[in-house]
Amino acid sequence: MIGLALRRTVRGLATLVGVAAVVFLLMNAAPGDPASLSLGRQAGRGAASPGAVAAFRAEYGLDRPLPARFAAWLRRAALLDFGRSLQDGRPVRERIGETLPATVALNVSGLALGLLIALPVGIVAARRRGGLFDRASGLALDLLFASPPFVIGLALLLLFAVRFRLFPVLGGVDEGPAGFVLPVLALALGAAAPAARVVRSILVEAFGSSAAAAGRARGDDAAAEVARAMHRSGAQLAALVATLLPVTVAGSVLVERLFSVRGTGALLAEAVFSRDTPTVLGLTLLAAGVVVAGSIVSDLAAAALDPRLAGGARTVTGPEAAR
Amino acid sequence: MRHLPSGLRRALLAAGVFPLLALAAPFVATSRPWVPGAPGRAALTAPVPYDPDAVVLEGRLSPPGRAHWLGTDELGRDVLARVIHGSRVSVGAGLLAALIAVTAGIGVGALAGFTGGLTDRAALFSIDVVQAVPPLVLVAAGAAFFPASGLTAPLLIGLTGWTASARLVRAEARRVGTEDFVESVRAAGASRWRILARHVLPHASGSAVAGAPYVLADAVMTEASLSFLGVGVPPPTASWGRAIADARGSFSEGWWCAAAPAVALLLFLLSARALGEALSSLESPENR
Amino acid sequence: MSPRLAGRLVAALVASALLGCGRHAEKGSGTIVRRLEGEPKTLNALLATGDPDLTVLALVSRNLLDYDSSLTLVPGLAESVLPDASHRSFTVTLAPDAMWEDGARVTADDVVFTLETLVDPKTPAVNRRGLFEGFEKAEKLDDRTARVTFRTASSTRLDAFSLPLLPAARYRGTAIGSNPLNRAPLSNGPYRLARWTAGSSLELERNPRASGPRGAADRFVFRVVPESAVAFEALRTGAVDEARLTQPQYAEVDREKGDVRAVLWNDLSYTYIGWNNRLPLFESAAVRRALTQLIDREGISRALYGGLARPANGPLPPGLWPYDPALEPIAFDPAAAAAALDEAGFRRGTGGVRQKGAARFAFALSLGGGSDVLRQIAETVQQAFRVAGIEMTLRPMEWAAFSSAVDDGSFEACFLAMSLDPNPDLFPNWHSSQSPPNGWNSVFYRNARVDALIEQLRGTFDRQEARPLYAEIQRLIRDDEPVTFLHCVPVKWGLNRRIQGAATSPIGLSLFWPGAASWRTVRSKSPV
Repeated sequence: MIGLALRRTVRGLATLVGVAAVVFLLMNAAPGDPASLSLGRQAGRGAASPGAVAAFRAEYGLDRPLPARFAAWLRRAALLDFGRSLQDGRPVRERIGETLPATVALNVSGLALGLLIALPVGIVAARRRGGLFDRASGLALDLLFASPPFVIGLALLLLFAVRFRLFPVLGGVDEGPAGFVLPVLALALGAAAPAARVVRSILVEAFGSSAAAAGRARGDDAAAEVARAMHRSGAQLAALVATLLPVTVAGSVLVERLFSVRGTGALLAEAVFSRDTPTVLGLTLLAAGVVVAGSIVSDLAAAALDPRLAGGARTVTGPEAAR
Repeated sequence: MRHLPSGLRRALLAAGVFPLLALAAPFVATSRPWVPGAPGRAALTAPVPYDPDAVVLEGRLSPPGRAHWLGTDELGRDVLARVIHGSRVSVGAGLLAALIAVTAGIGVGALAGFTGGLTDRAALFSIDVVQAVPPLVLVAAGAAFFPASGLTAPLLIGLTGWTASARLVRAEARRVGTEDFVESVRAAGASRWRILARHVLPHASGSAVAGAPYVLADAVMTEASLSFLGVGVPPPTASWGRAIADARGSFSEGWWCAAAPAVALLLFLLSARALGEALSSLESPENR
Repeated sequence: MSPRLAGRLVAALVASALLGCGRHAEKGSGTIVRRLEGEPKTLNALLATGDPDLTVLALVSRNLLDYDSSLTLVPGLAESVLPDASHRSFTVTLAPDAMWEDGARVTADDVVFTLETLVDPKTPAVNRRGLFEGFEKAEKLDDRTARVTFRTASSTRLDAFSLPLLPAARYRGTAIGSNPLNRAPLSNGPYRLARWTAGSSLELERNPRASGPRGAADRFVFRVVPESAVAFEALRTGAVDEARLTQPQYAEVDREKGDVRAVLWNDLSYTYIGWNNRLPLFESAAVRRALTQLIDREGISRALYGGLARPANGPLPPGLWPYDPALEPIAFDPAAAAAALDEAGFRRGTGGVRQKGAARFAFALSLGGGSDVLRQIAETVQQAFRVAGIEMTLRPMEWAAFSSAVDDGSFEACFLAMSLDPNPDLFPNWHSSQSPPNGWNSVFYRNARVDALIEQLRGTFDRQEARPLYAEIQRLIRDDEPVTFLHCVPVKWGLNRRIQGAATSPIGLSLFWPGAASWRTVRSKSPV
């Protein structure tokens, strides 16, 4: 077990370096010059002088060859120093620190609420497979699943903030908890649709297993049966949560934009579009770190529950859960 | 088709409508008559006698009615004609993405699972990396690299969507590779590639194919989101996602501009999902 | 996650729970809530470029000279800025009561330091540098007076003194890009920064040490609302007091007659399609004129701008003093255009597309950003061209890539809005020496007579003398039509009716004096 943990950690760290390298390359290969973008420009109207651009490049080390820059970045990143943003010269850690709380608050509550909706719906639907509730909830979830996230968000906003004025139109810290209700709901609905599907299919399988049949033969009541099924499917359910985790730090650009919450999603979008590589790398590493940690934990959990899996295969919940 | 389970047959029929619609679009919605009029004979027009890109500023935002069944958009173009032609982009994007993802997933997964060793580790590593790169970075890089086109979304989704199926296929390939019949074929002197192609692939790719409809749905949705961020297919091409995104500025003036493509998107995604369910129930252990 | 980060997280959650609904009560009658499209990047007045930065700074940082609502330069931090007879040397006399927020006087040292910083090639002062081309030196004469000397005279020189100052004492010896004051500016205007909640809002309160008239409103709260449709709903529900409107939003406000009133003004901008004059397709003025003749600008304005936009007639918009209203824009005339294209050798070939020899009349129009109306216009133009046998594909680009393409001149055709200074210098955009990579003449326009006139204008200080020269330039450029001038589009803004005293100017609601400093609130007529 410890060997597995060690192996997975080494592999996780290698993955992080790989991710950073890929993102670093992508950001630097994309057209658009970070110096003149950061110094400000208006197409056809003016941009920074060559001197200012050169000074900027020297200040941020953009004049050095790519491998050297990446190596330097890697050395500092190992000490959790992600450098300074090319946008405003402030430390990347500080900028992430400002935006992360809102995103984590939004997405953790969104995820929690999503699971709170998904679990009972999935359980009941799986219990009465093919019944009225299964079909009705299936239809509702399908509708949610097939609605683009911005449509769900906009509908919530127009309905509850504009039409009924129950919640503020503008979300975020300024409006207090009320400002978080609608974006959390939008995220929860987005997460609930795939999650309920997965819960249902996991449990349908668990209820159909011979162990469940044996339990019924022993005279388990419904609650005990559900509890046992949940217990048996623990690893798969954990994997489901793990696949939903990355958004909790990467943020959801569209929801943040619609509800005027500036979180890491907005920061990432802004950084990507202004070619602010240090900020993008910092956020990427954070998000990838959560993914990697999540997958290590779920692998270990799976291995603990089922020693046969320690060989390396990972529990997979189907591509839909990754959305 | 008769030997297919009924659920799968229905799902295939429902999902099959959309590619057909996409193929038929230039004949169904066009201003060019099927049979040109002649003296004493009226022209036989197409069912939707409008070109999807024909701008008529004077006739903008007219509500659904006799002339335009689903109304006109903010530039006076027929919404129905645009929805029909939009299926080419949206459905095409979905199919292309699914194709890329499944092919790459099966290829990488089978190779890794069957060969093992260094290849396997390299494949696992690249799967890990691809899965951990934030989608937004890929989307933005894609938007910056590729000229805006309907290909961007399918390429991005295809190039990232293969990881899930690759994992599944890899696990299957490992399992198949150790089974007795493969051992016996190997003992009989078959080459590695032959074993891979003849015995491993057919057994291992089922799960990847079952996942394809989800990749497809994902691609259609991503195409819509790309349009929302302003980097989807270039205008005037009317993908459904773009049509919805473009109409968000004038919901109150012309709800129908957004409603029609939204319903089309919904139906397509639902049929793709039904197909996925049907395929995976075929794959699930009880039916195997 | 570092402990500090975790601490912040908890603090933010607790704070949001505690503050709760308290914030709303704080938004009293004297508080005006304004919308920003994005978070300001910097509040360093010299480095600021974006709209959010400038909108906030307009209330915090005054200029030596300010424009008033009619674009006349009026005293600000400076009592006067006077040129000598050569127009090369200017004497800046500071107002006696000009003071920084910390109680220090605004002195000639600040003027000298600011100018020397500005012209330092390492300072990325994008917005201001152009006006100080040819700067020679700045000297302190006494505490309140400084002399600024240029190597050459130019008619747009005085406008350069619409210039904010940095406090020399706080900036000297620091890296200008990363000085902490960039996020906590030292005010010398009517308001000062009270609070900046990163990523969410920014609050200004009255500056007790402000010179001149005090601000009318008690407080300003700036909310960051990136999405226009959301800002509009926020405006209608009273969550913000002002927001820019799109055409459909404007029409709705106009119809509704609710708590929001719409204001309209002509700004100093126009939209245009730039033709890359270097390419064989666009090298002939006759062809470029024909392209303009194919576009029904009146019809587009009626359909997409509610008839409010006017066809642009040349390189100057109507709000500028040298604009020539008598100059007719090129008229919509597809038949004449077809004839001209035939004449130029572009005849209809296979598939209906015009060709000249082997060259098909086909090109791509690059678009940047995501403006709905510009996209719709592009689609309309595309259709008009298609009918006329010209194949134009649309190439929407991400902004970063688009602006690189424009500045390098590496596009076939591009769709842009041009926004001019109150006293514009046509040199960087239209002089032939300013083609990429030297300047911003990104369409590679070249006309010797226009070059000569632009140079002559730089030495013409009397506006009456300058007018006929400007008129000739406008006519020449319209005849050459190096770009297709499309529309001058009025800016549409929504203001809550409780806001009084808002004046407009061609440079907007905020960027002139007193701008938003004169806004005040009255009790809302209908209870919200």
